[in-house]
Amino acid sequence: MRAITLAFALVGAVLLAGCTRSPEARAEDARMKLASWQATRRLLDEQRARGDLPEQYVRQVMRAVEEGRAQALANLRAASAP
Amino acid sequence: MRRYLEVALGIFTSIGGFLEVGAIATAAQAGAGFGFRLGWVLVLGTVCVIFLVEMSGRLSAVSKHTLQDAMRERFGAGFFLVTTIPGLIVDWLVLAAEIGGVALALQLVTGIGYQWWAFPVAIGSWLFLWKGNLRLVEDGVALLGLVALAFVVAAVRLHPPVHAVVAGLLPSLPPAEGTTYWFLAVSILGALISPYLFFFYSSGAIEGQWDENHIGSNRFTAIVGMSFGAVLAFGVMLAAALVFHPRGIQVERYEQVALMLVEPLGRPGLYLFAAALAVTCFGATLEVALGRAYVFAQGFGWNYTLNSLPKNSARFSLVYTAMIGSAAVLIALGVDPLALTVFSMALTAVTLPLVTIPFIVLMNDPAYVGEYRNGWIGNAAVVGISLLASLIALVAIPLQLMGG
Repeated sequence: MRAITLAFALVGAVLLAGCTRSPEARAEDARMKLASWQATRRLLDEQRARGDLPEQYVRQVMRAVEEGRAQALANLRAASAP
Repeated sequence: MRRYLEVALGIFTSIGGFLEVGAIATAAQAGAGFGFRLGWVLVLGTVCVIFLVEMSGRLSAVSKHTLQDAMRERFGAGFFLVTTIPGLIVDWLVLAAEIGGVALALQLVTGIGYQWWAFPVAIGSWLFLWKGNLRLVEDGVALLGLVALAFVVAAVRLHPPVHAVVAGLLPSLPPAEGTTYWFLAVSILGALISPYLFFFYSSGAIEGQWDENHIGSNRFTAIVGMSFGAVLAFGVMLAAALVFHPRGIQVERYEQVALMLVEPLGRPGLYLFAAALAVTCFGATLEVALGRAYVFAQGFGWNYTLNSLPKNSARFSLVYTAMIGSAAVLIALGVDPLALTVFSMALTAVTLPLVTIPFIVLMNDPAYVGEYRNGWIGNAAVVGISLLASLIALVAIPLQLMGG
């Protein structure tokens, strides 16, 4: 019984450690996502310029890029706030 | 002809059960985020699922019991209820993700939002089961599912570096993003080792009236069918690793994923991606809904067969109808299909031992499998991999949810 309690305590400790991410880590994560959406936009533009993409699909990806960028920017601001 | 049908069952199971929305999403995320580094998880999952599918067919062929039937008989009604509830919840989420996969494929080619496709997809799937039979389900989707070979063609055309790909097949620790790495690893395992696959496969073996003469062909279909599915999933991972990873693109929306096929295949790549997503998810929708209906019917002793009119198996038909209808509501409400997919696959990994451990007990019980008992390699592989997946998932899921 004591071993089971100890195991649960250990798992709980790991989870608690995971919950407390530093603002720097959250900001870094947001910056990576922002860069990822910018890279998606560049790839989209390249493929569009080659005539590989129908316009209605381009609109879908553009919308996803805009929403993703907005979310990443909001997360970056929240992480940078004092 | 009979052997052909058995192989078709294996290949259908591999397409609908192995390569579906979960495998496509998790393999694409893994390739984009970590290049070839998570290839070893695909190998691990494939080995485990080959053993489990082979066991499902062997159990049914020798004992004349489906997996669920045998579990209920061996472990009792209480056990059936305890394991059925988490299984039902997980299958419902997986079913919603599969319906979402088909709906998203339709969104990609029409521009109409996936939410609007949820009920048309649900009705189409339901009609397929209501009006069709097991052979139509097996053969129809198996043939159409060959479009998923586009992932392999794309990967080959991108000229993957062989040395790096092979290195990825060996287990490695994460470079930095530890939580995401392990979360994706368990999501891949959950996507590959799906319990509904075994329930569906063993029920199909009973409906096909397999006997001990089928043990050899069962082993062949398990190995070939699952390996075929693994190659397709590996194609997804390679294409994502070669197109997205070098550019620093993380896969966060399904709309991005088609770009990885457009890069090597041009405009047809978009349509091939949509077709592959639609067909594989449609196949999985049928399998998950049928798998759960089989579980209920066999657990409660109802009539069940897809090879006669629904009125002859009314409660069985009611279960798949209710499953499909209710899962479609989740997608129609606008739940993010990618997040739902990855989360439901990780949850599948958590619940794996609830099915695999009793399954292993059955496969070592001479009362069920006689002289065809498991060897120690099969026992060790299945218990080890499923326990590992479950333990990692128990830690990785909360961390991922809390932003770890």
